[in-house]
Amino acid sequence: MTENSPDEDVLAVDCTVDFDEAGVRVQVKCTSQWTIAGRSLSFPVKQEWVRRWEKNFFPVYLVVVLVKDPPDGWLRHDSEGTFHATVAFWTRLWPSQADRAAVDVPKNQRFSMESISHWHDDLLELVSPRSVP
Amino acid sequence: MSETAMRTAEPHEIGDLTRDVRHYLSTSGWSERPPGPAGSLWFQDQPDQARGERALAVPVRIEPDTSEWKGVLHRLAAFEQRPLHDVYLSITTQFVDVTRFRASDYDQIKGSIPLAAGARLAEAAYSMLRAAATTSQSPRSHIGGNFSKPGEVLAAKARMAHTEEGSYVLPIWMPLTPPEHPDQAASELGLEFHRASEPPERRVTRTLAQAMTALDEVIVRPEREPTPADLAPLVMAGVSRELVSAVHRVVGGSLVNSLEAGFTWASALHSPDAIDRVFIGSEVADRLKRAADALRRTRRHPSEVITGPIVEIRRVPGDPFGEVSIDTVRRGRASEVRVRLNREDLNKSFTWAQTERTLLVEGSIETTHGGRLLIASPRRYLPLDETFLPAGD
Repeated sequence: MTENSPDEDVLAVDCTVDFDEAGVRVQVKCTSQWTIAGRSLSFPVKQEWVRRWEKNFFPVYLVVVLVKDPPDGWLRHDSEGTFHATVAFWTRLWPSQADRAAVDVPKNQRFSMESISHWHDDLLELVSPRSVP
Repeated sequence: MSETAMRTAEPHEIGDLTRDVRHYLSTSGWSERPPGPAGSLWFQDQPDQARGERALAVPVRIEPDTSEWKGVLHRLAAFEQRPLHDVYLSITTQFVDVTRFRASDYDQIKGSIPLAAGARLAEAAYSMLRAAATTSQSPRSHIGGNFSKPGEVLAAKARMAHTEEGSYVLPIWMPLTPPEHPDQAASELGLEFHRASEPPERRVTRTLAQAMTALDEVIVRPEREPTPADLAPLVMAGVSRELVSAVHRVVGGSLVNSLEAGFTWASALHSPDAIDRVFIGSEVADRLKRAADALRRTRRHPSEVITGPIVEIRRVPGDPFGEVSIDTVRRGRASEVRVRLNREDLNKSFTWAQTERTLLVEGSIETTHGGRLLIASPRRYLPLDETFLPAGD
């Protein structure tokens, strides 16, 4: 994963997750506005970065990290280690969402290692449909 | 169909960067697999056993300053184990002829240049290229403000790139229009030799290189004043009063003691057999000034002279004569002129064609019944650079 420089944050994507073939861009947002419960959350998006993602040919994702407020409620420094009481959900951003003020993030798409594998499949499907059965 | 697929299926103009990346990959050992809706995977033709099979995803369109372009570039640089900037230049200048003007002075120029000298160098670079663009259309000893219109259009395509490390190096990029019909096998066309026509932008830079070479051979190296007889071949090589004056403006002042012109030819096309580097020192400034004055008085070149590379050779078994086609500009238009040659000249033509020598042909040009231009009895047929070589060479 490559974190983009701060001046590139205006591009609306925080990092690139690199696979052998290419990278996919990921916008990571952290908020305490929602909780883990419920079916989805509607995350507000700024037009300036919406316009950026719609120029990408390869997939772009939004990852929303939910934390508790105040911060000492989700970060615990125990003698056994540092523990995060957080959860993240992701959704793929589509060009058709460009004119919307908010993006729906389904809570059944919880971020895990499998998400990365899923993103890789998305990428391969776009550049070589035959590579996915 | 996915939403991305719908978006990418819309008609769009293919950018130059897309063409450059695809051309670079296809000429450096990569093959494209059947594409998907947003791009395609490219694989190495002969994968390295140790490193395994490498795949590179390339989007259907590549635009500058995008993460996808950076991704392709970084992966290629890592694969080739070359610096990123080198790979960037290899990709982006495949269809670009680069002229590097270098101004030197032992005391004044070290990494930077006095502003006055830098401004003069940039102005002179433009004047040289502009003059060569006009003389690439038709040789002229003195342009006198009467620049050729097609030449001006070509000169306007030139771009000044970022300066490079070195005494003081000003790179001028001339992007080329790729030939419509890439090289076809001569045998398929029933010819002995065939090469795609020279792009008009290449003709400009080749004329500039040729003119600078001729200047070096005729004005700079011989330690004597050039005679009027020396100047006529100079003009045929593309030298004009304006070009010589521009060189003089750089080396005739007190801030620069030499001007060097280096030429790097676009890798996607054959390289012309023009010299790669010409060095002109300030000690010849006065001679340049007098040559520029003399060029104002030089009479026009003979009208029935053409110059250009050979693009076709044809001969008929049993016929003692054969023909070559010279790619040239005549009356402001790109033209191919056929020249009828005896066996001896035809045999020499193969070497000249393979090495992309620029030929000079003098003779009456007639239009055949088929509408072709033909010089049936050339009075002179030889490489252009041989016309200005000092006697005895």
